[in-house]
Amino acid sequence: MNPTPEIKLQSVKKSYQMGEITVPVLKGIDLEIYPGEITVICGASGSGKSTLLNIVGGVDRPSAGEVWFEKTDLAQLKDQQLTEYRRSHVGFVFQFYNLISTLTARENVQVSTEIVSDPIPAEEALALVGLEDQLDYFPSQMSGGQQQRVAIARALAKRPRLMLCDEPTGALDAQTGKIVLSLLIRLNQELGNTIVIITHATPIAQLAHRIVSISSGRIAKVEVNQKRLSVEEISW
Amino acid sequence: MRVLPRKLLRDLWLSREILMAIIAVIVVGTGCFVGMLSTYNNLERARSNYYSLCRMADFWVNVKKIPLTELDRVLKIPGISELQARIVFPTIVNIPQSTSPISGQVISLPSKQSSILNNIVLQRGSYFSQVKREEVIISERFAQAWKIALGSSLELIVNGQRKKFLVIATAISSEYMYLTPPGKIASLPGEYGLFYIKHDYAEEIFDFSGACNNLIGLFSRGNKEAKGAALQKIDQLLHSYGVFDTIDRERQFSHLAITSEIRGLKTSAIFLPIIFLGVAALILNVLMTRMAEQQRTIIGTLKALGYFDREIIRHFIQYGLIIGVLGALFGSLLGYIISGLMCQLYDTLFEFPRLDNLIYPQIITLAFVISIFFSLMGTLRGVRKVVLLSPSEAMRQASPTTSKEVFLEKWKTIWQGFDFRLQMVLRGLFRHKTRTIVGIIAAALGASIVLVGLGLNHSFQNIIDFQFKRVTLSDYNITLKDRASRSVLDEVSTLAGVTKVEPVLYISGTFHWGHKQKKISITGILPQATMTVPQNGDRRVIIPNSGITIPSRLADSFGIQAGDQVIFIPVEGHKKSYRLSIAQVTQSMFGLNVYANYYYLNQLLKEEHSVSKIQLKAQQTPLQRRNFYRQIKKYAQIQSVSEIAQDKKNLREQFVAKFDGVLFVMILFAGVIFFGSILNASLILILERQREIATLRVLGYHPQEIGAIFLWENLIINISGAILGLPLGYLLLQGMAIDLQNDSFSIPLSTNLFSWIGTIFFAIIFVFLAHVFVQRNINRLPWGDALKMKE
Ligand SMILES: Nc1ncnc2c1ncn2[C@@H]1O[C@H](COP(=O)(O)OP(=O)(O)OP(=O)(O)O)[C@@H](O)[C@H]1O
Ligand SMILES: [Mg+2]
Repeated sequence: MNPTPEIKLQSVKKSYQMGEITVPVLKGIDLEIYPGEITVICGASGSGKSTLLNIVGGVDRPSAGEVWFEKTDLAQLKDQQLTEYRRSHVGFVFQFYNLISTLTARENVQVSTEIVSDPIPAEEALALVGLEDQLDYFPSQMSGGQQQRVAIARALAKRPRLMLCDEPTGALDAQTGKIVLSLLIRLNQELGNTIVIITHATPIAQLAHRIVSISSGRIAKVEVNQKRLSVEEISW
Repeated sequence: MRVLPRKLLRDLWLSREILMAIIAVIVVGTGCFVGMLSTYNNLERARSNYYSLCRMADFWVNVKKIPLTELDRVLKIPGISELQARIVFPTIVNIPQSTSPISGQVISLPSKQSSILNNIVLQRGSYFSQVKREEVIISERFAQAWKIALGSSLELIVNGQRKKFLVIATAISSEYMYLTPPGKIASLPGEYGLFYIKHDYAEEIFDFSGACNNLIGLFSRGNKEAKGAALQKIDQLLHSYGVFDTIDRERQFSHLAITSEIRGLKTSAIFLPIIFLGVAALILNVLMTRMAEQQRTIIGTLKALGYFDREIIRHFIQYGLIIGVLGALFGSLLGYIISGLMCQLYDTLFEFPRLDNLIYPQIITLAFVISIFFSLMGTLRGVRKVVLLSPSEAMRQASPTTSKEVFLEKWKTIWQGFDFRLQMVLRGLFRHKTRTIVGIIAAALGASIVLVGLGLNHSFQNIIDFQFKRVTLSDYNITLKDRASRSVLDEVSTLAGVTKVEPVLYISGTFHWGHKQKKISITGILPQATMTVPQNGDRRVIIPNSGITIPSRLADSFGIQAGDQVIFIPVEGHKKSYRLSIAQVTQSMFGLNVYANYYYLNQLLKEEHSVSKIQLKAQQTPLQRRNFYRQIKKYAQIQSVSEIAQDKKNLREQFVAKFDGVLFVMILFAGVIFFGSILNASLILILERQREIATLRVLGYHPQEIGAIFLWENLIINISGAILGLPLGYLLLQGMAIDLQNDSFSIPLSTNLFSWIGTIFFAIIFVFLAHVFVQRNINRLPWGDALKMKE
């Protein structure tokens, strides 16, 4: 089994300019992300996970290297085209949900349904994440887990090929975190989205098809998870 | 509705207080713009309609007496297309209800109505009938002031005789839209009247058969030079008949009064809105910068979701758009109200057949364009920076500036001496430099408006005081119709309660210097005159025994100085010319007063009739005063009597009182600027400092103690702004003075210590008033939530 990867990174480097000094964050990453798989990226804080995810999601650009999505190198795209890429192919879920506080759950999802041609209607997307009864709640009226589910609904409503989740459970307690994770797994099974999840908590990696470990800007290890556990079986 | 517009509306609603403050500033700006430009158009339109309705003359020539046969020669002068002869004389009206004699002017009109120049517009009654010779049409306001009914009879003193006239109509005319007695700039409606009588009857009573003393006419189309040349030709042609004055329309008193008003409107219509809209753009910029900063994560998220930069910019631009549209909308409404009020004001100041307050779509469109432009400028500048960040950058918190220490902290000993609250204030001021600067600019502009208002007020008071406390010190001035012999002084000094009399001699004529010439009147006063005291700056001018004393404005325009000699040709007399030497040049406040020693002037002209005006001091009981007037009213030679105290009162009522309203509005509008700027800055600050405020509340601070921090901050910004606004306002005032002056007249505009202190005082008042709102917001802040909140 060796299908074509959805995303292929080749010698991707990223460094930040901090005044005089250049801080290398990613020091040559080669990585493949396969369609329909759940990939978990783990690593210590500051190891470059978010930076990597942002590059994959077209939110940031590598300083060097290539990022292949189908036949295009994201690194070569203009801002406009990169936006197009995010718009039609990427769904982001953030650690702190990043919902718009003056919009209701439904409206927050509509923020993304309005910019694509064939979205999942907001109400349906919210029903998929089990929030059909909270359509008109404002973020301040919902718990953290509910807010994160709205954020997931917002990401998936675009029918993205890629769902990129940066510590989706980071701000949640284990109980709520599990609800969110099982939701992501269900989406992967039912809708077939490719999902990348960043996490601190190693047990979560057991849910993935593929586990990528990063340490100080390099890929330390990529392992194909032969024995995936279910959400009930893990704890952190 | 799509989602982002919905977010927009909710965001707007959440920040409604700040927005209203900003919109108020825009409303005032566009309101002034629409109001003043509309008034400008209203006036301009009403005036030009009125001029064509009355066939307003292009020029006036005042002569002693010319035979009508000369008219043909005048008409042959190139550039003159129409000419009309009138008989115009000053008169005294006997109004039984009035204690003092009232002056006015008799003007002859053809006995049959025709389309003459400077025609009248009948208000009540109808034109002269063929029944009676002694019919009079009187000016509308005069009739109203004295409640003179049609059909009643009116006694005029004409050519030294009392004549009874039948009042058959009232009328107005564009020639006298602004009507005051000669030599005064303000009067009350009943103080001076116009009396139109039949021309043939005027010929008879003034002994003017086949003659006239006032020519009015039209120029055929031509440029300014051609017109000036034509007037000079008239002057030369009629010289032997004694030409007092040739006046083209630009110098006609009523025209001058209304055009300078209209011109002033246009200037303010441009400069006031720029101040307000500029301030609005600045504070909007502060608000939007803050909003973009606050919504940084949202912007980043939207970008990560695949929104294009232009979509996000469009979203934020709409804030500016809505603010601009609302501002222009309410501003246009306010402008319509302003122009309505100004029309009412001008309708009392000037006399129009009708003065409509119209709506001008072009002006309103322009107001929208300008308002939206300024709002978009403010918004775009505020938002651009954040929107153009890369999405990942935008999602990161802005690198905090808080860690930097402000330069004051370098002086450790001083800094540590400060209270921690003052330290907070100072840190805030230096860290948010743009905001601080915007606050200071807004305060400076607001204060400059206050200073202009107070300065104008002070200047008017000053001019009146100068005139009545230093120059004119008599109790009454009696102007004679013709010059009288000195024996009249003795007569007058025996009138009831009169304690002292002084003669004044006026001689009008033309000054010649090289090829330059100017009509001037010389005032001859006693060497030790106590009732007319010319001033040079703040010193009294000593009139030398020979030669004339001229104001520097005249000296400059002629290019002459003390010691030079000019040629003077008096209007009357026998075409004789005199060489007069310039004895001294003085700094005069306004007008073009040329003074000479009374005896010197007498000697020069070798006249036996040498009194044109009598000034007198009196100490009278009310009874004596009544007797005084009764006696005066019998004098046929009198042209007018003015009671100086009354003149002063009139001036105050006419100008100063009316200006009080304007001053109030100016201060109110300046207050809007202060309010807008302070509320904007403070409400933003409260949002930003929610945590600090919450922490202080937890520590047990009262809301007032926290409010005091904000109050200090606003006082520091606004007082320093107001101080900077003082020189700015002063410059504006000087600019206005230059705008108001011409070569024969200037209005000195100045400020005094009181207006400077007053400006600062108002700034402080505004800060405290705005603080009421700021404090209310601090009291209402849900500080418990603020602590729980994640930044
Ligand atoms: N815009 C930036 N400018 C400068 N340095 C940056 C920037 N973004 C990230 N870094 C640095 O790059 C390094 C990696 O950051 P990144 O956010 O990718 O780490 P991470 O693995 O996601 O950590 P965490 O688990 O804490 O989220 C960090 O040291 C961070 O300080
Ligand atoms: Mg991270």
